[in-house]
Amino acid sequence: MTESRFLNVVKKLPRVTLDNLKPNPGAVKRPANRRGHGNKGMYSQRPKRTMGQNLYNHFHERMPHYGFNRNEELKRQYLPLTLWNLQRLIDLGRINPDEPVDIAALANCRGLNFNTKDTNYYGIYLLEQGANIFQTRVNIEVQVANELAIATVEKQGGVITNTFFDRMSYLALTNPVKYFLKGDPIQKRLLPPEELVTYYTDPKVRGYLSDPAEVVKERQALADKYGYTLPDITKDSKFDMLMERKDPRQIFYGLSPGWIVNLADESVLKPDSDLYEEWAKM
Amino acid sequence: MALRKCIYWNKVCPTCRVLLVSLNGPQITIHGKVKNARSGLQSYSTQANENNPSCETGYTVSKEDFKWVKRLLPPSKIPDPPKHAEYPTPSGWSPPLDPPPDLPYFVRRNKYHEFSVTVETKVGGGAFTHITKIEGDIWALNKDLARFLEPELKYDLATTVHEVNQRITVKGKFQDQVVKFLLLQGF
Repeated sequence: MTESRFLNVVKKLPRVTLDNLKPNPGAVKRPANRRGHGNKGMYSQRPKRTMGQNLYNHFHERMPHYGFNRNEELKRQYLPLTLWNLQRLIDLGRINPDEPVDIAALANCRGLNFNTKDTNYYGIYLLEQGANIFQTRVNIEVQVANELAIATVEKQGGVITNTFFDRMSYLALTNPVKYFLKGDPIQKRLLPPEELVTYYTDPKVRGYLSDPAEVVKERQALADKYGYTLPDITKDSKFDMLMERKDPRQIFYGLSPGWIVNLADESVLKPDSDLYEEWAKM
Repeated sequence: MALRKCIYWNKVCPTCRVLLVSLNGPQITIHGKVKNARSGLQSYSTQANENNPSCETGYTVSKEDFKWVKRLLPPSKIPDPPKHAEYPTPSGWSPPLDPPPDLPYFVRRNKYHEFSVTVETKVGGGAFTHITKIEGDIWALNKDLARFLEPELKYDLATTVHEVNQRITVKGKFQDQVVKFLLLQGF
């Protein structure tokens, strides 16, 4: 480098100004943090709180929750439905047992008050209360079911399946008319998340993704456990109704994704292209 | 394939626009065109009547499949309970007697064909049973109710009678027993 280039560098360097000046390290002492206790009065004289606490929030508000109900808002919630309650709805004619019972049937008869505001509700939990009086043959579809509840439904010659609905298809089932009036094509149901795959592929709980041949074995195994004779469904007059199941990608019975419902003209618009069938299977 | 060609030339007809939203697949990407498709049903339905040949992706209008939708439509009013072979039903319900029983009081049912007997619970563990929709001599009902419930108890029944609102409040949880009493009376 030549001298002239050095000089050019020095010319471009910043000059010492009031903006650049600052005290030497250690010359100025920072005042201690008051932690919310001001400069005057009673609170400034009081002892300071330990880490994680301050003057305004009490410690139980500040400290994290613990216990059984921790993160209750983030957990998946299910609405309880007892067998006694289901029997009463059938007795009063609000639910038709000649048709399959699902979330939409219970929502339309106002049997359950479905919670649509909280974002962590995912369906129905069938409970065993009223197992001693239950006497109807139904094809019911719930999200979670008790073991004794499964046994009582099958003892009467009924069928039960545990299925998963994602949040958007759950909302569609709670109010189908509102869903059809949007004018959008029917969307496809999503598959269960990773945590629930073991539950819904289990034939013991009659999961909808389980092998149907193993479900037949488990039906007999449960009958042996509780000591009742399993009725033969194939000779039943309701056989066609009892074998009605939804596709894993289907929200409503009979209506496949991609169709549009026209409530004004009482018709259903079905696309002809094959892309839909490929899309629905994806 | 016709649909893909339609997108490739940037000429998305209104019928295809509805289809594109539903497809939502990875092979199709449209910028700006999808947003207008939400109001597509009106044009979709008008196209159905005119049967426009310019739309390459076809669709069929089926009236038969509307039977699946009819299942999902809620009833306009609460249905009347069906006639059963014998009463009480498995859940313990039975209809009111016809003609009504010859008593100085009467208890109506609510719109769900059940008695409006509710339990109010308190934080400290206390509970009250409320009976509403009472007509006639409310004091006579109060006396008969106490006569029915007291043999099972080891103490005197505590009740309050509200004549203006026609309501009886019983201290404690007695929902099942009260409903059983009202059914026995024939209301």
